[in-house]
Amino acid sequence: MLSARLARCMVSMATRACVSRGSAGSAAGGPVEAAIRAKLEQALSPEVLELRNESGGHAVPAGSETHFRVAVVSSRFEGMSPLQRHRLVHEALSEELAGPVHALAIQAKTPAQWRENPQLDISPPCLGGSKKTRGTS
Amino acid sequence: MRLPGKAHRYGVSDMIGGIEPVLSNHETHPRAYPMRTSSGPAGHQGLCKPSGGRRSGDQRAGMSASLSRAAAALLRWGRGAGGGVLPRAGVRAASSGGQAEQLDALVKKDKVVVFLKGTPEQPQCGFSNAVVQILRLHGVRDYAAYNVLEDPELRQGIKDYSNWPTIPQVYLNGEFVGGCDILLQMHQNGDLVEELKKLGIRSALIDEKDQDSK
Repeated sequence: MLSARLARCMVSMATRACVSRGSAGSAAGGPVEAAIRAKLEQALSPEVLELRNESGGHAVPAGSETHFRVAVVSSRFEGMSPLQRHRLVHEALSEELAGPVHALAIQAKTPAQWRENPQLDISPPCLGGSKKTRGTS
Repeated sequence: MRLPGKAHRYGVSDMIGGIEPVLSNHETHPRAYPMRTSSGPAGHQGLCKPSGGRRSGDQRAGMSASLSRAAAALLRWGRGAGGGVLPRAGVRAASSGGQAEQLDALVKKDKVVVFLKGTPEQPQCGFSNAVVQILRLHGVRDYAAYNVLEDPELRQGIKDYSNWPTIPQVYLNGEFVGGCDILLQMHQNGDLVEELKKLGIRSALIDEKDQDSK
């Protein structure tokens, strides 16, 4: 048990290190990212919380916080359908989704599911960029 | 491949075996929101929902749209839902119930309904494109696709209807299924093949599986 826990911790740390390295340019993150992280921590008590600002891949100004991908790993999701899990995340971030955040890709997993494939996926390319699209989700 | 000239907006679903019974229960219920009951100032769209933040720009643009545009939008919804939904041509819905009813009819009109940013041929969003590609993989072609970028009222209305804050959105047999992430998950774990089977749609991937097993 101790060994398993240690292994899990190492995997989690390794994953987090990779994500952190990937976003070295904005190591601190902005206020929206900080708010998302804090609200999800409070609402879902996740064992793992991986958050990536993907705004750089879209036609928005540099340093924007409009497109995010999040992996939330929580025992709270046991027995819940994917729809129910995503709604929990939406509820926790209702302010951000009604305001600055246009897109939020969600991976909502139980700890067992996360251990099967502990990685934050990559979102598809934007395809957008028209002024008509910019500014609203 | 889609036939040239075929309108994706009002795709005809495959009604094998006649009309299926309408589901009596929905996981999603329309969420009530404040609605002006009397006509507002000139040019004001009663259907617009007040919202702060960045979206206020879009709402402001929407509110400045002409009345005829609003009427056309309602007619467009009504047309998709079939005759008789709107009591009188050109009359704006006076209550949120009216809007929810129209959207309810819209999502039930076809077996597979998607709300996208852009069209299946020209998606304007990576996640909308992913939904289109998944349906293509399964050989689903006769589905209704609505471009919310053409209609700000639909764009906000469908979010309120499903209580889901983002686009794209997918409906199967009139029931809200989720967005891109959930559809992708269903594709990966085999649930989508099963759900399509329930609708009388045979996924193209079944044949691929058979070939793989040989």
